[in-house]
Amino acid sequence: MRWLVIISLLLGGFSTAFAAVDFNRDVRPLLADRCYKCHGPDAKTREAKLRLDAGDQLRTEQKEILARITTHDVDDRMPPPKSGLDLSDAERQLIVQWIKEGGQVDGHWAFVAPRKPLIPAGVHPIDHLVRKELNGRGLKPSPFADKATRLRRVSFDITGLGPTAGEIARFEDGQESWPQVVRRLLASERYGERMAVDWLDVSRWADTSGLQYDIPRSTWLFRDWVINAFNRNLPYDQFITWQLAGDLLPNATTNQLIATGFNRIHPTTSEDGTIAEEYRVHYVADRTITMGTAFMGLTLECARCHDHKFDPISQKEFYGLFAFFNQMGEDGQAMGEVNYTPPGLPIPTTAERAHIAKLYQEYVELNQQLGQPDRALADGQRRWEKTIRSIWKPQSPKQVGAQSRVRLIQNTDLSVIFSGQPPRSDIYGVDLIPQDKNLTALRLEALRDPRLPNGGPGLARNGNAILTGIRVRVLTEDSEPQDVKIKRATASYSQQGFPVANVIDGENQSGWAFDAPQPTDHAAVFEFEKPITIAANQVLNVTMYFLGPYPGHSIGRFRLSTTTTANPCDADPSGFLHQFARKPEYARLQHERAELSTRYRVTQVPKYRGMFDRIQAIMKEQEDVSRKIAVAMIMQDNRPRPTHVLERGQYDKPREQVQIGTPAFLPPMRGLPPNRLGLARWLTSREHPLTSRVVANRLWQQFFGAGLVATANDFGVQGERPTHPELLDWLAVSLRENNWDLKWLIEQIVTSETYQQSSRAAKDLRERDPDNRLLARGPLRRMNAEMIRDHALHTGGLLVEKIGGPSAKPYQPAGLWKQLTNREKYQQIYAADKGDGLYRRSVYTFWKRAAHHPAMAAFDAPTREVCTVSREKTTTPQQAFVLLHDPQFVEAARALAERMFSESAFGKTPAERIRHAFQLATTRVPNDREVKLLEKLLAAEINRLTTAESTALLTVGESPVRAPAQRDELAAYTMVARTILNLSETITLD
Amino acid sequence: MNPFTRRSFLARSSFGLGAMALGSLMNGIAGEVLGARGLHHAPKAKRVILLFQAGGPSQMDLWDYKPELEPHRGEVLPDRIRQGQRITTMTQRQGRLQVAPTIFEFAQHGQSGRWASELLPYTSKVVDDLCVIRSVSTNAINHDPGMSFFQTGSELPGRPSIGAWVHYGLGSANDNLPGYVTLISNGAYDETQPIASKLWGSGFLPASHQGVQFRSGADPVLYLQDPAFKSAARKRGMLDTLKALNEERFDQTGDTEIETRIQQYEMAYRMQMSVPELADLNKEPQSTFDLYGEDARKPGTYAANCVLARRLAERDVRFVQLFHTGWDHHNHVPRDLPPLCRETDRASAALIQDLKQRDLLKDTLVVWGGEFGRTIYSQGDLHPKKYGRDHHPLCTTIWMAGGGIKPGIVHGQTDDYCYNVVENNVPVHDLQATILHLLGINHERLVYKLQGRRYRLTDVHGNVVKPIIV
Repeated sequence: MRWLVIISLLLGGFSTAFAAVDFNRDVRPLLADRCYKCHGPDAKTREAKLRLDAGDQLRTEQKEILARITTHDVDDRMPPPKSGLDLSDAERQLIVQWIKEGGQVDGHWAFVAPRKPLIPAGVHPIDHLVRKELNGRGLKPSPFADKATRLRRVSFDITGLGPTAGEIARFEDGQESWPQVVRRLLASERYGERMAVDWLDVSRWADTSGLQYDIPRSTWLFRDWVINAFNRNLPYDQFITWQLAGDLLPNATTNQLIATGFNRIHPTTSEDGTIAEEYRVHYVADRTITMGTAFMGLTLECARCHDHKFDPISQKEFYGLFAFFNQMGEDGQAMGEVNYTPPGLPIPTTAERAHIAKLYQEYVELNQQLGQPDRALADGQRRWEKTIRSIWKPQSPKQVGAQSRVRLIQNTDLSVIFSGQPPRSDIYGVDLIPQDKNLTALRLEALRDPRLPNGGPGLARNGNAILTGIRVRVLTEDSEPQDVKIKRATASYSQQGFPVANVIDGENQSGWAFDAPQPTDHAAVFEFEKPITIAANQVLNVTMYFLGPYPGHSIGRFRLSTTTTANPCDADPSGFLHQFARKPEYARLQHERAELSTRYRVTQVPKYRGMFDRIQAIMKEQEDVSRKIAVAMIMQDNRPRPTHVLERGQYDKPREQVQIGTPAFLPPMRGLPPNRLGLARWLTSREHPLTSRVVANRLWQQFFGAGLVATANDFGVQGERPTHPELLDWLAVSLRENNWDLKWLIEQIVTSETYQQSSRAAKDLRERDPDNRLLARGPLRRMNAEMIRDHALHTGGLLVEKIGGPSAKPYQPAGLWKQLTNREKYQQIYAADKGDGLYRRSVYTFWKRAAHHPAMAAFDAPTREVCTVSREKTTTPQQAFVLLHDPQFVEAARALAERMFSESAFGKTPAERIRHAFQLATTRVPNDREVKLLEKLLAAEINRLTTAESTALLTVGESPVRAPAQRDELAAYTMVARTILNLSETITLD
Repeated sequence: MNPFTRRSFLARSSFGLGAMALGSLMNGIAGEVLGARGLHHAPKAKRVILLFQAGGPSQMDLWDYKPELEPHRGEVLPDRIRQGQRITTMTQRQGRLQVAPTIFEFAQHGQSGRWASELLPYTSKVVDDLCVIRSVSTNAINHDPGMSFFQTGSELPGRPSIGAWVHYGLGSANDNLPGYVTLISNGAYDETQPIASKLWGSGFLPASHQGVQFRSGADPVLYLQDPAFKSAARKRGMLDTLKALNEERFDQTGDTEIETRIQQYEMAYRMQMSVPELADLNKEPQSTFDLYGEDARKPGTYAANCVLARRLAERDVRFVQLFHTGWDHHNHVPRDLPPLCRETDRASAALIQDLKQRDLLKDTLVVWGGEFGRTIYSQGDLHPKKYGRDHHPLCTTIWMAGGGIKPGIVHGQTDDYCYNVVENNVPVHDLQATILHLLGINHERLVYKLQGRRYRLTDVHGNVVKPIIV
């Protein structure tokens, strides 16, 4: 509490500057903050049936409000003293005054569509609207900043990098005008890289999955799309539409699909034991909440568990929005060790594409050769067919049981049939006593039967089943069971997306299924790692798991067999070959004949064996190449499902069903498809009050450090009111009217005199308006983390500019990743790049959520686990350590020292060299006192530096020393350059 | 309204680290004062050491003694105990959930007669200083959300850690060390838990409140060491020039941010002196290693980190968070638990004794525990000498000591199967509320307003566990 007193003492001046009370500006925020918790939109927690956010009660109950907030009786006083929401005297006075002045109630400003204010001809609209506010307060705008300062400001703001000496000279000499400067910067490809930084914060983009093992994903495809979209100046309405619903556009292009990654780059988990649906629901909620903050500045998260406490968003409406994103098939427990989670769109490089095409061609040729008729082989094949007729020996179960306690009945053909009601999930156990030695595989047949649904073999209504796991063990009396490892699995047929390999992948989410047009018998072969023999005191125990996400998918009738054949998965991958061989040749179906011929050739004829081996090798190579291909995670409405209100937001507490839809307090979504495309069209419609304001405000924030609405992430009633409502509306409407052209709007902002003002302020103005909300002076900000590093590299001449591609790994202290994740198979060693990767712009620095690059984190780069609309700006000792000791900055200082020598056109005396370096870093010519201080340091360091120190200093970083200078001299200049790179001014935009 | 909100103010000034015109008021001294007075009421603890055992220690093999369970060995967990509650997908596939009572011996210790396992011979000796809480329960069933919940009050990422909240509320009490320090112990286990910087992150609070990771080796704090100069003092000349130039610029512009930056460079300089001295355990007398074990000589071990934690407490670092990541014993508790206890038991107990003999235990709160407990049923087959245990959110045992905690007591009770809490349930949010309370903070009033919402460490939950407080 003490703090608040101090602050209000210091800053009291500004808040009392207003005369008449304005409901939206002064009263609603107070009511929202102190009263809506119990008297707001949330019906469940509403006290005394009093609602003060909407409806008539705010008008009719004013007398009571007056009494309750002014009484001294603690039992009657509102807000209740216990709530900790007390009104200060000034705040109470505001409400009293509002009621006394008539108690006018207006709708919340941000929920009413923006209207363009009238602007007199011949004035810059921005300056006109800013000065209107200044005039009202008796303030005057500041003069222009000097040219170099302005050039530095606008260069960093638009491109993220500073001007060169040549650019400064051209602008100062008048060879380039201000509008020309602005257009040149907006046309630069650096613009996209600069703009992307903020959007990647908003879209909570990162290189890794974020939770538990924090696995790398090829999300750089999305990052590159963002950069290119800005550079191509994709209109903002399309920018939104592609990201929310690119997949639903007619004939969606690859880029439109990649853009939908916006909804997919949230944190995901692959932790063992995760309840997948719990996390799938988290993901859908994340998409919904991010959409709300990014495009509408709404705090939808509050309505996930209950009606919103402050804004008119009911919990039901939250789930109406949630439903837009709830139509996709996805696994809440994302796959580990791959670079994406489905649905995905592979984006191969040209080289990868060519490689795969070549493999495919060879594959087709080999397959053709393999299938050529060859009469010479006919006799041999007949003899072979006789030998395989009984490779599988059906085994009589000694004991069978099901976890669900349904009955499993043994038939005379040794098959087992299910009887009863299909349970949700099940586990079968079977004990076998095979007599043969050296068993190499187990075969599971899933068999049809008229007693089963749709004739079987499964218990699902269509006769399907999903086997999610199998476990084979040798049980011995009085000792521990031994697991029999299964190395391979093949099947007669696998449904798309349910390969039999899923059975042996060690978990029970995915499985093998055989949904086919015609129900038929199926078989799967499970090959043991080593042959096994069951001794007299042993049994072979087989456990089959049916624990997939779809209920009632167990197998209705099955039979188990064993074999002693070598390489059974090659010899009889379908498990039915012996049956084909038993048929007379004339009775065999075509696929049966082909299967027998192929199997004979590849297992018995060496020539074909070679071909077959090559085919296997090709398939493996193809797999290896494919695994490395970057895959864009995209959206798809491929799994329509009903959406329910979730009690307290919990996945397992579905309540009332809801329809896709938007909140009632916003314009209706009329005549639009009820899907994400409709949502995007609605957001970008003329009537929508929020979308254009939110983006205009965010752009303003980019150029002035703070938005006109200071709470850029909250345009609801708890957010701050715009300092310049008319200006915000002018920006918003003009943007929309100019085809949502962001570059156009930026041009308007930076060509205003308001933007070009000097940021210096006299003491009284600083005290009166410390945060420069009235804009009587130019913006003053510390650079963001990316700019600070890029500027150092640029100043040292080390920056490598190349757009796009997988993320770069610059220097990082050793062992950081390993200390957090010390598991072999997950990325644990940070291997810094060699060469170019060390010097690329920071927008390309690998962004690991669990351990973000410490130099970036020190300068307030967020972890990007959630949507971030504005970064905090702190000042800490860690920042000093980074600028002083991070090899990146030490190396950049040495490179800057080298420039003092190599660019001798700027002079060869120490003072001239110092001036040159100082100007490169700050865009300003230092005064004599500053030069003298650095000269003194230079002289002292020349004396102080030992040979060892000089060598150590100059060998920091990978880049070779290039300067035509003595080692010790260069080291001393490096100390000067380090000082310059550490200046507060160097990392400040004033 | 007033544009200079509390939030933007706090964003620019990390208290304890100096700020703008309020610099002198807000730096170390203010933190000192707040620590002494508390933010909302008089504190019982001035600092916290959180010994976090990531992975989930097995409560029934260490603390929660269930002798009556032995006759039920191998039986299927009764439905009346399970009550249909969810279990992880790792044991869902398992046909039978067989009860696996501990195979370790328990005995009573101290004047309090506290039951403890033979695996904890050292901690057994300090039980009279501990409050053993057997009834901690959590919401999460998996590690990532479980650790996140314990450290940040939320299963999903994005929230500040408890140490960041404390730093935000009270600031630092020290002007040459960070106010919030994280120590990660190096282990050599197959099943170490991956952890993430969000567990000491500042979430939506300004980054100046995040935990500063102390590491073993030459650079205890990232980028502390100059790549060319061994001694910090060697750069004094350069830093003086830098300061003079920054002051010159301040005179030109009046930008108060420059003053803050000057102060932070001074603080960094002091840290360069104080941190290596702090991290250097070589000067500790032999008696320290007699107490903590010779392991404490190896930098980065749990024992060394416990010594470091004590040294940090001596220097009034407000919040020290220590991670050990080896407790996730799914497959083989009898094989994997004993070595882990050998590695941690002695140093944990030594820390209590050491703080006590230095008269620091009275205002230092020590908390030992993991993100959840483990199941009474065996994961995988149950054998006489082999059993595994899955994650169990419904109950676990933690202990607290010092800093206003009643010594020598036990709190909470689980059912006969060590499955459900039957008495004095302590949800994680209650634990957090209690830690804040002991520091003089009302958890309902330590709020940060973001997007119109008043965020708290304890969300909308949390009750201070009064019976365990002196």
